[in-house]
Amino acid sequence: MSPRTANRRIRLLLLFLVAVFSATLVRAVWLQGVKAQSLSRMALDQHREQVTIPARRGTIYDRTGLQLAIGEQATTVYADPKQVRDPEAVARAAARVFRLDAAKLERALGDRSRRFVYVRRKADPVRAADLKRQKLPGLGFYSEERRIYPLGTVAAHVLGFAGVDNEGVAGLERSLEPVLKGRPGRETIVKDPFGRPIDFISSVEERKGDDVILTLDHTLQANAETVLRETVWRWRAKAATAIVLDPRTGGVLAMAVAPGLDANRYDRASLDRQRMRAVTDTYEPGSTFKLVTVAGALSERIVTPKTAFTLPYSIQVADRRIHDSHARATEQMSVARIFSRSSNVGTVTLAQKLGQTRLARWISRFGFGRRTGIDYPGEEVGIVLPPERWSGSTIGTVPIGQGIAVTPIQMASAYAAIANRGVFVRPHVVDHVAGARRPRVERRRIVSRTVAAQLVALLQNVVAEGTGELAAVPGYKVAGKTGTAQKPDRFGGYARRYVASFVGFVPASSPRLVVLVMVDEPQGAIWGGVVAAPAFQQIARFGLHYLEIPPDAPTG
Amino acid sequence: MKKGQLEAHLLLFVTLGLVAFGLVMVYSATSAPAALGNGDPSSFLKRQGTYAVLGLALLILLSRAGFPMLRRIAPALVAVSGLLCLAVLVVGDPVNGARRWIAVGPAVFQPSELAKLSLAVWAAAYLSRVRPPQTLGQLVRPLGLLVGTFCVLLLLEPDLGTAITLVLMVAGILLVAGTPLRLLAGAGAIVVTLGVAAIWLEPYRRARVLSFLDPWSDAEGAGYQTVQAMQALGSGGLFGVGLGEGVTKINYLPEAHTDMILAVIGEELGLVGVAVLIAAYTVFAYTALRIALRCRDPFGKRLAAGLATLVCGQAAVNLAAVLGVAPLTGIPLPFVSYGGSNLVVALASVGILLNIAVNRGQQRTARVPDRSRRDRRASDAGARGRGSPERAGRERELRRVARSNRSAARS
Repeated sequence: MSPRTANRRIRLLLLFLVAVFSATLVRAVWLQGVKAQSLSRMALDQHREQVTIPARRGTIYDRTGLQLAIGEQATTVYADPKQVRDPEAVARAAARVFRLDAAKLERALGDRSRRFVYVRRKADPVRAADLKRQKLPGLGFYSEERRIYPLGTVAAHVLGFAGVDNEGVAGLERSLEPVLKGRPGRETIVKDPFGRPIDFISSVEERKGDDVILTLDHTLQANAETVLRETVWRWRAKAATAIVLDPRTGGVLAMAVAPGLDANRYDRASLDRQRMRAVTDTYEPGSTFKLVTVAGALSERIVTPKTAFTLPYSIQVADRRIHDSHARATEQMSVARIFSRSSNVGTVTLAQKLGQTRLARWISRFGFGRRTGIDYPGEEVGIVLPPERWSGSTIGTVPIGQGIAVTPIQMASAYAAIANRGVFVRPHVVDHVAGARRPRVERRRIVSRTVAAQLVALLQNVVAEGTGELAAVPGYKVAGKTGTAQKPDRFGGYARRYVASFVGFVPASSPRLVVLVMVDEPQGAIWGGVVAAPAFQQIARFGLHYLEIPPDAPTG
Repeated sequence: MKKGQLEAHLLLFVTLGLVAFGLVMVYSATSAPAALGNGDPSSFLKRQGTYAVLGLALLILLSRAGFPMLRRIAPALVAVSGLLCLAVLVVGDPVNGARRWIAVGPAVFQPSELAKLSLAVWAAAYLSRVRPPQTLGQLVRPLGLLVGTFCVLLLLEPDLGTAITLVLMVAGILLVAGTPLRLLAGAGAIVVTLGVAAIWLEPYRRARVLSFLDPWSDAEGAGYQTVQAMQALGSGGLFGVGLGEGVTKINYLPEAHTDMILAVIGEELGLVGVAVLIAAYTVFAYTALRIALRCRDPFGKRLAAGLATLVCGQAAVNLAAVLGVAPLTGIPLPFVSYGGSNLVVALASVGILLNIAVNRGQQRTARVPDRSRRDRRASDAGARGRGSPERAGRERELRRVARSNRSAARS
């Protein structure tokens, strides 16, 4: 073997190594020059993460500053089944802490094909911390906000609720979503394969949702709910609704539904129970609607409260016979008496004098047939036939509140307008958003001060000597009207089921509270004056005392 | 400057540069994960630094020791490293399922690294003594058998990477020794066939090897490491994201500080860094093989070529694997990757190469009667033409010495 051959071979070896190194260089150029962009994009996808920092939801306060809905820190526990080493042990530990079904959890944790399993969403932070201390591999924890309704059942229907993702799904939580939710923050982080942050690239600060102050008063609300509960129980009724309004502002002080529900378990109640009946349900108002007919007749100067009529027990209107609720002989009645005795015949007689067109205009003027514009979602319109679709007998039914459907809030607002000296104010639940100005509330006059005063006097008469005697509050002048209506059945006729209602305001000389009570399908008695008036009386009396409103009719 | 000094200096310069660069990159690759895991960020740097000092001491020692003495201790070296390779299978603590390390006090020692060096010395000594094998039988006995035995021991650890390096290194020595290319190619084909079979029979290796062909088909499994390496290299682009700024090394890329350190270099220093590194290895290959070329002693020539192949072969296989053009076999990047035994042995190799560079044919000339002739040659570069009378005389002389050596070995 000659050194010359050896040297040739050494040069060959050098050539070979240089060739190999050149090839690797070419490959490096390919990866780092040509493919650099797509490869680095893949790397960024893997290393970077956009983290959304949830904004805290705004708190809902009542008018006294009490928290009705608040966000509370909770801990969500999740698992990465791929990193869970012993599904059984982890499942057992978690099940013990959160009282879960261990077997079910173990199955979920044993499924290695998944990378994310909720163990417990929005758990109690203290319990979650207990579990965290056990340092079980595969479990993860993060903070989340949980919506809490400290008062439970109080105002549950009004508040509605925010779902698991802290997003309003019902009630005010839904309609106030844009205000309450705030703006979530965003952060771009560089993370390691276990998701631990290494570096922060950029961030947008989150903005907490705005707080909202309601016109609702939790004390009045709770009392109204209690009264309704007792009323429903006493009369074995299907349901009951109450509204308490401040006639001067249109602010809703209480809006209650019975049977109630717990706002913290809102989603577990049936859809039927979740309804805010005061706004979303319609009913045939019956006699409470006579206010509109009388207001029309007075405003059009067809009659005065003293104008007297000779009225038989019943009259024929087209194909229907209209009669009063209680049998009586033909007698002379003034407009005031027609109202206080709730005479159907008398009211229809007034309506006939008013005429179809003008009556329809007055119905509309009082706000029936359109939404009041209350700031609560899902408000119903009600059913008011336009005059061109009236039949011959309609003039005999609509004036007394039959063949027409209204919502409790429409009726309460109409009475509030009379209490407010003839000026209609849009009802509302939200007083103002924290940090913002109190919004202006639309007002419009619907009857003159004089007519309003006349109507107040008529309504006072109802309680003083008419069908509403049980609504009387000692020491106060009470104005109000009873209503008893048969419920329409599915076939267009009437069933033997009733809606008893009472709507009125106190103190009549300077009204501060409008109260509407509606009882659906009471058993044993059907009359508004018997079933609903006592509930009205309790709510009104409590409200007067609670708000320390001076009596306007001192006794003894 | 004396002849041969230039290569020696360049080799030393490249080596020291690579070691220093390696320390920086090992620190970069290990400090961030350690700091995030509440560990000592510089623990790897300290250990690697200690081994570097140890290796440099060995380098200095071997560069002065006179390489010819290695040929005398070659059989002993092979025997010792063979025993150690056997022992590691028994006493080694498994790390990641492999028994590769023997604990020596606080340090660990990897016998396979010593085996590489021992076999280089022995093969060079053997092939400088005998005629290069002309048949497969001559190739197999005894060289093939010995290398085969070591390969089996290494594969039992298992340490496929070192086995491949070993085979490449022996092939380099055989090539330089003048083994017919046809025989080398045939033997190579057999080794590759055996290797493919060994890979095919082990499912985890098969998956790993096949994954390099299309790592993205199983980016979460077998192709994970390659995909991560390529993403790291790609995100480095031309100039890199900056030293220490890489992200992939933080728990994404397994073995970021050892076998995969090129990916960290590529991410942080970009194509520029990778190109400089490749250039450094090319310069290393050039200078080491220049030393082999200039060495007049057959043993030194073969040993220098073998050590050059040992270092550069490792570098090439590692570069190719990280760049995704060869399967991952677990070969560190010489001088740069974290790993004590590998660094020490690589530095020892450089020490030997330096000695060969300044010591070429010293022993030969000692036996040549006219010593002054060698000295004159050394200082007179112009006389060193191809086919000069002096050169022919020298070759004759060497052949004579080789013959006498061979007969001595037989007796």
